[in-house]
Amino acid sequence: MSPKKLRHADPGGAAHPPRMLLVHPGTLPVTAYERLAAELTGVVLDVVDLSADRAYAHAGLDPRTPDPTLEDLADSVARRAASGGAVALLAGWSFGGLVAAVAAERTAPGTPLLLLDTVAPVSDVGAARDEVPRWFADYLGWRAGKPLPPPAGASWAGGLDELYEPALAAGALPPDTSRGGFRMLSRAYTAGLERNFRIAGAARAPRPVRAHLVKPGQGLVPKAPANGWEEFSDDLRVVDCSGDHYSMLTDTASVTTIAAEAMRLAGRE
Amino acid sequence: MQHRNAPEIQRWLVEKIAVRAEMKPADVKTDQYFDEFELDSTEALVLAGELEEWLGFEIPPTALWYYPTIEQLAEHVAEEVAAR
Repeated sequence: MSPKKLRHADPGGAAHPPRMLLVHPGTLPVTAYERLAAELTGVVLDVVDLSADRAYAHAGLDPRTPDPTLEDLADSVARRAASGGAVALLAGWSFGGLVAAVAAERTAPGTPLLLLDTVAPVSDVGAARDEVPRWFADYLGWRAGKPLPPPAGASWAGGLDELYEPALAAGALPPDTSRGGFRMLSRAYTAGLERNFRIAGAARAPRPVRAHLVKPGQGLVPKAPANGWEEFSDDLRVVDCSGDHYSMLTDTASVTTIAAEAMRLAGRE
Repeated sequence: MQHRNAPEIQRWLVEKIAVRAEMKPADVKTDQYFDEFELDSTEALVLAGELEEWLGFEIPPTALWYYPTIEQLAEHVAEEVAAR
């Protein structure tokens, strides 16, 4: 795995700020965290990009590629944590939060944990699939820089084709993008989600401690107050923010909320 | 399915990447890695889908990782075409 840093921390330097090690599962570019990195004071953001891990990336693109386990991914993150300066908190966006939670449990119990719209491992994958058209619309909306309404009638099985014309009209993709190109994108999006469902479903659920969940109003599962984590954590603090699953990483107000939580957890408020 | 050869596939890729990367086709180096054209992962997937559509058969999206330059991908795809 080749982690990508937005800022660099000098290993072990007492005069240097602690690290916020954040696990990113791909889909959005790592540059999505630039605003968050700029908002943090006294904490350096260090992003581990799971999509740079060939085993993880290819398991979402090629059904012949075996899935890595959640423990494999968590151990890679833990190795990264051990190789740099002090880690003040572990964090993860989306599926990355699940990996961060397992990394904390396996190697750094008691390290504060910040989950950014991470959903607890749930058995009801069917219900999650019903949300996919909205999630994909939110993803395309993030690329366009403006909300893209989910189409009525689009379905997981339907290939999300109904979003093709709205996505081009909104500027989410270049105007000459063909239907075939769009179809590959929607296929990869759903296959990546399926990979994450499989990996999460095959693992024992972590039981986070000292964990905060930042949850956008229009996030992955708006109706679940703690994204299902109440079953696995006794002391989870839920903090609301604006936006959806994707825009939460770049909207000014939600980034301010995330940065404040990170600094609070790192003891830098 | 269209029976394309490696030079045709290479020309198609050069033209597509030139448009996406806002370059002149003559400036697109065929031995340069795809990720050096500053295509993000979404744009790379779209490119793979459009290639698949143009050829008329499925291309695994991982092909861009295993054959990471225009030359290598065109050669590989031409072999796939010939084998069909």
